Formats: sequence, C-alpha cells, structure tokens
Amino acid sequence: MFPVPVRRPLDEAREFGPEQFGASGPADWCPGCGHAEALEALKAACSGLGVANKDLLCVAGTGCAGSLPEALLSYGMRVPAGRALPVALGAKLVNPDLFVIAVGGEGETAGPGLGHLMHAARLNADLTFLMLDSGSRGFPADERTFEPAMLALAAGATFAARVLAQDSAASAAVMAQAVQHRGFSFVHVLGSCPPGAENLRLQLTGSAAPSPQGGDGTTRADAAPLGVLFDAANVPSYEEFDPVLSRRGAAVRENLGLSPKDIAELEACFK
Amino acid sequence: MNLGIWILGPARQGVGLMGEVLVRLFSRSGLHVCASSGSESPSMGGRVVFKMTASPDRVHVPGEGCAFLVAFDQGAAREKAGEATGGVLFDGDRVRIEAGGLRRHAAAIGLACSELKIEVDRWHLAALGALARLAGMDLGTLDEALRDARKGAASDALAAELSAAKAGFERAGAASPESGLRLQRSDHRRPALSGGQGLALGALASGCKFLAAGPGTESSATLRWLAPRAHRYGMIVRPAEDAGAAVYAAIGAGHAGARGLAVVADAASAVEGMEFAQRAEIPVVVASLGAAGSRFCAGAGCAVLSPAGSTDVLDSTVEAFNLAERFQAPVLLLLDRFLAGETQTVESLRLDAGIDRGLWAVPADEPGASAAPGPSAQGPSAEAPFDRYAETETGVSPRAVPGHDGLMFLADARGSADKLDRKGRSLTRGLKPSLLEGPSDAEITLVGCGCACGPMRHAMRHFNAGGARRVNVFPLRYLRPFPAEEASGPLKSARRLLAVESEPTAPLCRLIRGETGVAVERHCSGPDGGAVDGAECVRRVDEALHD
Repeated sequence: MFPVPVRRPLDEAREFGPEQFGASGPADWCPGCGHAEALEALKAACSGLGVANKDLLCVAGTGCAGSLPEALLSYGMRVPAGRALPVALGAKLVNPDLFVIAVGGEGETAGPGLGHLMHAARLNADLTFLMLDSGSRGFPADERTFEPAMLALAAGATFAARVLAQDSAASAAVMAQAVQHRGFSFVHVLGSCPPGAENLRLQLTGSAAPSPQGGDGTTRADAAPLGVLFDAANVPSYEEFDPVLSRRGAAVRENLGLSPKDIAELEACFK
Repeated sequence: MNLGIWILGPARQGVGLMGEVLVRLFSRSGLHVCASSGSESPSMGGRVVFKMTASPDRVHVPGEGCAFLVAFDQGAAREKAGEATGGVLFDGDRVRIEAGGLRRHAAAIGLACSELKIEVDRWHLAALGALARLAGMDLGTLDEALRDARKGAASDALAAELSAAKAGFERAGAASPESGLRLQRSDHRRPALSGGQGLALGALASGCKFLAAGPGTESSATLRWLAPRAHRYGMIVRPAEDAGAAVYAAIGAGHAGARGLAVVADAASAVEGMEFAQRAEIPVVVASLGAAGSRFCAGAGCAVLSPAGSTDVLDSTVEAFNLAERFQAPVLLLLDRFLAGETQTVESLRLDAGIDRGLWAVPADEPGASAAPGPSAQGPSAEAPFDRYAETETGVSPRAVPGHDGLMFLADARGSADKLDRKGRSLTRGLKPSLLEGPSDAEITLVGCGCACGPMRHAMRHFNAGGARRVNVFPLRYLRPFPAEEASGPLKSARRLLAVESEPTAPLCRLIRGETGVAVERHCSGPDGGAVDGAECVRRVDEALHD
C-alpha cells in the first residue's frame, strides 16, 4: 500500500539543527573548492528555516556538484548532466510539501541544462536552484561573456542571488531567503577549482585560472556584486495558478482509481 | 455490408468536424466504425484526408472501399471520383465532375452553395447532411450528433450550421431518394475513441496524476482531449521545453510517488531519460506518438509495449502503469501517428481496471509501522538502515518516496547489472501471454505490431470468409522484453510467415530473428514508412499464399 508522505511542521523540525543533514562531505571534493562550504551553508539554511531532512529532496546533476546530495542526509537524486531542473520540477509539482533544491555545476547548467533553466525561471515554480560555479568551465571573472543570474532574471526568475562559497555564513543567509522565496529562486555560488582542475581549464581555454583571490589582486567577487540581486516577493508562483495544485493540493495524496461518477461521465463523452 | 466514406479537403475547412460527427452518427446507431484522418504531403496537394468504414460487423481498417466521396476541390474530384461506387458530393459552384469521370452506378450529387442558399464556409455542413441522408440516417440523429460536437458554440452560429446541414440532407434526398443505404442499425450506442484518446483515458483510469508533454504533441488527440479535462481528475498537465525535459519531469513525479506520464513525439528522444530511470529504478511511462516505425531501444529492466491496434491502447496504457510500478521500471508505450489518430468503436471502456502500485517500504512515521510491518515491507531499523536498492531474487526492492522518516536514500543510476538482469527476467514472467488469433493450422501466419494489427486482421477476415482456415494473426504486444519462448511456438510452427510493419527496413523481422532464430522471409510495409494499407496487406497475403 502506498504510504502517503506528510510534511513535518517547521517549528517541530527546527530543533534538530544542521546535524540532521549529516556530518561529513564526500571524499572526492578538493579542499577549498567551495562545494563543501556551499553544502554547510545549505544545511545551515535549511535547519534554520525548520526544514526536516525527510522533507528535503535534493536533485543534482553530474560532476563535482552532483556529489552534493551524496553528502546530504536527506532524499537525494543524482541525474544526468543538466537534467536536475526538470526532475525537480516534476517532484515538486506532485508533492508541493517537499522542499526541492536542484543543484548543477556551471558547465552542465550552461550546456545541456540551459534550456531547462530558462523554462524553470519562466514557469516560476517554487524551486531553488543552486549553481555551484567552480570557475573551471564557463564563468571565469576575466571572461564576463555570460552571466547566469542575469540570464535567469531575464527569463523570469523572481529571485536571483550571487554568493561566495567560502563565505558560508553569508551564503547560508542568502540560501535561506532563496528557499523561503515563493517561486523560482536562483543562487549563483562562486567557488574556485583548485590547481589540479586549473590545468584542465588552461588546456581548454588558454586563460588564467580563476580564484577568489586572483594574481592581480582582484577577486571573482570584485567582478560581480554579491548578495540578493533581485527578490520579487509578491509575484504568484506557478502553484498558485495551476488548477490542480491551487484547488486540490498534493497529487501524491489523491486516490488513484476513478469514482463511479467519473467513470459514468467519461463513458458518456465517447458515446 | 460495409459503407466506406472518403473526404478530401483543404485544412481548416471542416473536414475534422465532419469526421467527428460521422463517427458519432454511426457509432450511436449501433454500427462498428473505423476512421482515420491524415494529411497528404504538400506535393500531393496538402489536403486533409478522412476515411471511414461503417459496418454492422467489426471493422479493422478505415475507408475500406469508397462508397461516397466528398470532394472539396477540383483536384480531389479529378483524382478520386472514379473510385466512388455510390456517389460523389461536390459544390456545384466550384467543382465540375468530368464526363466519364464516375463509375457506372455512381451519382454526381451537386450541392451548390448558391442553390442551397448557404455561406461557402458552411458547405462542409451541407455535405455532412447529405452524407447522413445517403447513409439512411434521420435528421434527429444528425442534429444531436452535430450539437454534441459543437458544444460551446454560439447559439446563432450553431443554428446556421444546423440549417446548412438540413439543406444538404434535403438536397441529397431529392437528388437520389432511393440511394439510402440500409446498414443494419440498433439502439446500442457503441463507444468510439481514437488511439490518442485511449491513451488519455488509460492514463486517467490508471490514476496518472502528472503528464508532461514534449513538443509536437500539443495537437495530438491525447492532449486536445485531455488538457481541458485533466484538472477534474487531479491530473497536472505541463508542456515541456523538449522531449527529454518531459521524460525527466515524469521521472521526478514518479520518484516523488505520483504516476507520471511523458508524451513525446518520437521515442528516440526519450532514450536517455528512460535509461536513467531504468538504472535508478524509477517507474515512469513514456508514450511515443511519433512517426511510424518501430524503435526497440531498451535494455533489461525496461518494457516496450506496442498496443495491438487502436482499440488496445486504453488497456495497454493501464498495463503500462501497473508494470512500471510493479517492476519500478520505465515503460515505453509505442504508439505512432496512425495508431494515435485512428478512431474505432469498442464494446465497452474498461475504466475500473485494477491498480498495482508494487512494493513499498513501511516508513518509520507510518502508524503501527514498527509493531506490524506489512508483508511486502523491509522497514529500516537501527541495525539495518533502509537500502533502497537491496538485492532481491526478483530484482525488485521495496521503494520509498521523499517525505518519510527513516527511508532517506540517494537515487542514482549506479544500479547493479545483475539486479537489473534479474528484474528483466521477472518482468518477462509478469507479461500477459501473447495469443494467436484465428485458426492454428492456417496456411499463413501474419506477424506484426501496433498499427499493422488492423490490416492484418482485415486480411484474416478477407481470406477466412465462409469458414476458410487460410490466415491467422500473431500480434506482438511486447517488444521488450521480447517473449521469445512464448513466441517461438507459433512462429516456428507457422507454415508460412509474413511480417507486416510500417517500417520498410523491417526492424521487426530483425528483432524476431534475433530473439527466436526464426527468419521471416516475407515482409509487407507501408509506402515510405506510412501506414500499411488494408488492401495492400490483402494483396501481399494473396501473393504469399500463391508462392
């Protein structure tokens, strides 16, 4: 028999603290890349809001960013590159009680996931997307040809922010706002890929390695402002428009079989 | 006795409405109907072509013979008038029937707008009224069917349409008062639905609560019928930006505990998502409504169902959802545009089929979970944390949905190949038996799937008329996992084999040979990947019988 999930009230869950999300990160993250700090910030943000780990679904793509749900004691999914957003959307729409966080690296987000980002932003469903940007692929500070937060805003995102991964406290505060925001929220998390990956980047792009503290004394944060860039609090989310979600609630709680009245009505349509 | 009607007209001139009303007219009179609508290629004129067969007996192909032709333009009249055995309906103001262009007993039934005193853009309704009269229908039945089809239309517009239909009805009566065909009718209203509508109904009957539609499916019969009604049954319908997004969104819904369906235009675009769902063991149903052609790309732990004709789509959809949840696997429903667009009458709609949700772990927050775990449960404990991908003999492990205490897990595509293989074998055992239709000792066995099943059954009826035992039919409903053991018997014992499939490159023949070792030497395909025609199938069977 299908066990229907029910969200735990935020007040009850708040007392569990960040420990409920587990203690250690995955072994395959290089020290200092920023992913571990982003993970800690996410744990702090969720526990601060009172989100129970059982009510959190974290959907991530591949690569280093895809390891985040592995390190988070909650429900997690690791999906093919760039596909986190459509999966997260499907899960969120059938069970709006879940807190659904999608995670992607900068390469997959700018590549296979770019179309999904645009449409998720346009739809304004109540999702949070964390783009863990280690700077090894798409968005180095000295090549400002592509600005994902602005792109998300242009597509209709109602919340966009940029944070420095190494500043866990500030990141946690911004992530908490993003999770709380009703509608699509986009958080660009700036990290820095350590030297091992820089070599690869040099081969690929021929340009200098990005780091929070570059050789010329500038930081990635200098190239772009940090914090909440846009927060449209009063824009209705998709869930408020959808005729099923707004009137009937979570689809996972619906009975599956048709009632005799439904059957009679449907049969009449075809006679 | 059968009645075949062909309508050829430009797009957006009312051919679709005529078809819809005609199907209602005949099915409500207790007759069996098979109808299809398609478009010619631009080089052939780009017209909409509607073909229908009505009969007191079950019919399997649309437009079997042409008793009446409705020609909207001169080109249609010139090309097809010679095929009509009963008569050709045309607008006398715009179309001329050339001398000698008709068969001997066929009537030229001119319905000039100027004579009928109707607007040119309502000519199709006059033609509809005339067809109803020629088919021996009464005006009241036509009135009711037209009102139902135009539900929601403005009352003055509907009144003008009814008036145009009545004018055509009366004109046909005056033109050929004795031509009314006398098909044996009854008061039994038969349900009539297209394959696409069968998919929609099957999804509702299965308790599907989330549908993501890929590009190119918006105008399908499934979406056109379902999208405005889905909310009444608690189903969320979302257009997706691409077919992959549709599949992944349905996977997300399935992972969260709802039954998810992705409708895509082509099965090939769903492969990546299905492979992920297979390895992550997430139930999802993907329906492909695309071009004809069999695509069997799926590994162990996936199922590919090909409904045996448009009347089988509803039942196949219900089965697909049950298989998906029972075996925690993606299931591909392989429709094509012919199967999806073909309308047929059925005896009844099975909308209360059983729902099998498969194996679930009992969560710690479920009342009474620790005291009395269910028989299917492997509830977690302090000593044994929940293992979503626990090794089992069947390859199926109890699953959990987000939102429960103690059952947290990471879903990913790193599943063990051995487990998936075991699951594949369990899935094979869980399929319904494939049945041979017709006499077991027939001279030739026709094998095929999907939209080929109608022409195959049509050929069987043709050759077995009068009690002959010449042809039998073996529809293959499962392409993955292929029921090799079960299929080997009928295929190996067949005296002659003919594969019928729309794809000219014969992928079904290769599949059969690969799975059973049986070489199917004779092959009948549609023109340029189009649907196999009933008459062509009969011709090829005749050839094969004389080999």
